[in-house]
Amino acid sequence: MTSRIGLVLILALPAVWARSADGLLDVVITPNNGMPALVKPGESFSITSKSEATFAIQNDLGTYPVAVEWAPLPGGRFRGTATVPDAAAPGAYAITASTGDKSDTTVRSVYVLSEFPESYSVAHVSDTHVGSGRHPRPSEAIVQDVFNAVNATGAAFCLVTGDVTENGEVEQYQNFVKLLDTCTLPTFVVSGNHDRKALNYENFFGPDAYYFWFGNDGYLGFDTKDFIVADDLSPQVNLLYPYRRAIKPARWAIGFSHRYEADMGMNAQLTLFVDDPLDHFFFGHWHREARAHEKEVPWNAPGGAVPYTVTPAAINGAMRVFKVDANAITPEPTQKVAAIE
Amino acid sequence: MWNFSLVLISVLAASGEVAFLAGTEQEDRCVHVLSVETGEVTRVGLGERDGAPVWSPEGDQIAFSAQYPDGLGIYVIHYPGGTPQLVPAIGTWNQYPRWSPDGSKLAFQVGGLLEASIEVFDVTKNASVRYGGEAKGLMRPVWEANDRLITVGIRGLPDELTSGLTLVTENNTEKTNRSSDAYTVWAVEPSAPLEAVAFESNDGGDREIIVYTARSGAVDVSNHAAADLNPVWSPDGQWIAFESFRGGTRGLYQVKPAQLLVKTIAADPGYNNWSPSWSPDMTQVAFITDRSGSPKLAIVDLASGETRLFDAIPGDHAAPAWRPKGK
Repeated sequence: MTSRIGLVLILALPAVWARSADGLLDVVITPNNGMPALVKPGESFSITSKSEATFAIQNDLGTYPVAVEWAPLPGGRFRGTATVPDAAAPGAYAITASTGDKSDTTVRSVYVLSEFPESYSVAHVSDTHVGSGRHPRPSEAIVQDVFNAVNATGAAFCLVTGDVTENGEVEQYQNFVKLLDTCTLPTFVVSGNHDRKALNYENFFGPDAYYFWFGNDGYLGFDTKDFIVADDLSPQVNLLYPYRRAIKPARWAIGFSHRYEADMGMNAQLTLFVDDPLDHFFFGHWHREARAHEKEVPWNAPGGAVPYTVTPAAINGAMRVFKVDANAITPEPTQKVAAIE
Repeated sequence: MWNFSLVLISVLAASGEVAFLAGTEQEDRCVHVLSVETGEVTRVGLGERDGAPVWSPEGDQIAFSAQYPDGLGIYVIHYPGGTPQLVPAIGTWNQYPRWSPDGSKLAFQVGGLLEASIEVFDVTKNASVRYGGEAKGLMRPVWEANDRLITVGIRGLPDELTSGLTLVTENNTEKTNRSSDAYTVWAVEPSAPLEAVAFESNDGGDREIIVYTARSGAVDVSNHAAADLNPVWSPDGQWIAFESFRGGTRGLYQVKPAQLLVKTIAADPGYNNWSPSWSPDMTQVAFITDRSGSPKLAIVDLASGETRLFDAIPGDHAAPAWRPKGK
């Protein structure tokens, strides 16, 4: 079914919340500010929703109703394909779902881009550990400095690879989302072991695994859980292979996750490092730089072993930028951008 | 939407028991046993990140891994009515338990990948010993005979890894020529009559199901451009159930290796089906499906194709294992 709403209807809507009042995802599951859509005017993006709501994207410059073609998903959810109007100006947009008298808005969920450059840089932040008291300076202040530094990089977007909270508490997620929303770049989040408390991560950010395109490059984010790393019993196995296949035509296929361990689940290893090896893999978790011998996964894959880059923890004031162009994926040195005392 | 469970519950005149995992997350995953006839579910595990349940050949015990203070331990529970008992082991990160054909021993993997080794718990001696001497890189053991294991042997240590089939006895390891060291194998499974061994391999460019017999050598029995995974032999050793992404989602298929005949068990482009386990009489297959939006136990009748979905059992489900008949 195709749905359209007009600008008049949008203006008539009651006051909207960013997500639900407690910060949890509400009607709109994806895109969200941890998994935004990157599109050019006239292009389409995918929506996962709890209902066949009417949708619009909006920012200070305008509000644009978006037409959505819906298909049902198992579990009572819906997947829609939405098209960004040609008139939408480049910039960050909130996505708003309206159903009956209810409205749900998630900010920084759609980024309209005029082009996808062939050469660009990406910021990598990991292990923000919001809510931790491990340093004299509050974790929120440290992480704010890190995101301020991210904003100054001129990167195309930012990967945030897990342990976003200290121990997965709802209040910590709420504070993390507030910090995340100070980022002026699109932010792509995956969970870490510290984020595992019931289904809090999923309630704030939705899918554990996903992929997206930036121009001709494919990025695949996945979950490594909290004890048995990238557990083979996880239904994530259903996703990794089709997602890897989906970005197979990419110029570069780049993976990102919270952690890499040599003994992580074999399905993830075989899918991403052996049978159809990624071109590069970014992660955190270690809270340190890689040592001299820690450069690539040890599998002897077709085309060579998968190189990896670990970025030290943001809670210790660190972040990294890597450059992507036609010739290479080039991690730059770690930047220390925040004091911890 | 029609209620799948209620419609089909009366169609299948099923019996038997299926062990499986249920939990909200890895942290509370617990072994349960379902009475297929009554639908009654009994919690038998620890709920401490329990691993896949493995029935003893007689069907009177279940082995599974679970978290304990030192790491991951192997537990055994007598069924019905027992309580989980920790298997004494040398290592502290133990998984993939597998019973010997006579039920007298339990092999398991200690550690992971580069450091992985094999221990065997002797039920009568109530003690575990290391198998394969000091060899490392031995994973996911299965029994080829009561005194001999087949493992996934990691080649090219420490940094040019592939894997192949490695035979392991108490004191020795022996690489086999059943697979090529140029590729990477996983999920090795011997047939019940112990005449053939099936395994996953990326020999051919993508993941395929390979069957090795002494007479025919290694044969690709699934042969598809999409990944084929997780071979599970039927109790009579004539068929292999396996998972494949050939339909766009993860689906269940079966192949008769002698004829290279592939049939669909349960596959749908709208959802995933995985983790097959044959009923002892081979008329049904238990599996996991996300057709209702989250992973749930289901049983399909192979003759009619009708499926019973156990979506009323709380939590996400995983790793079904049909209880064998025993003697």
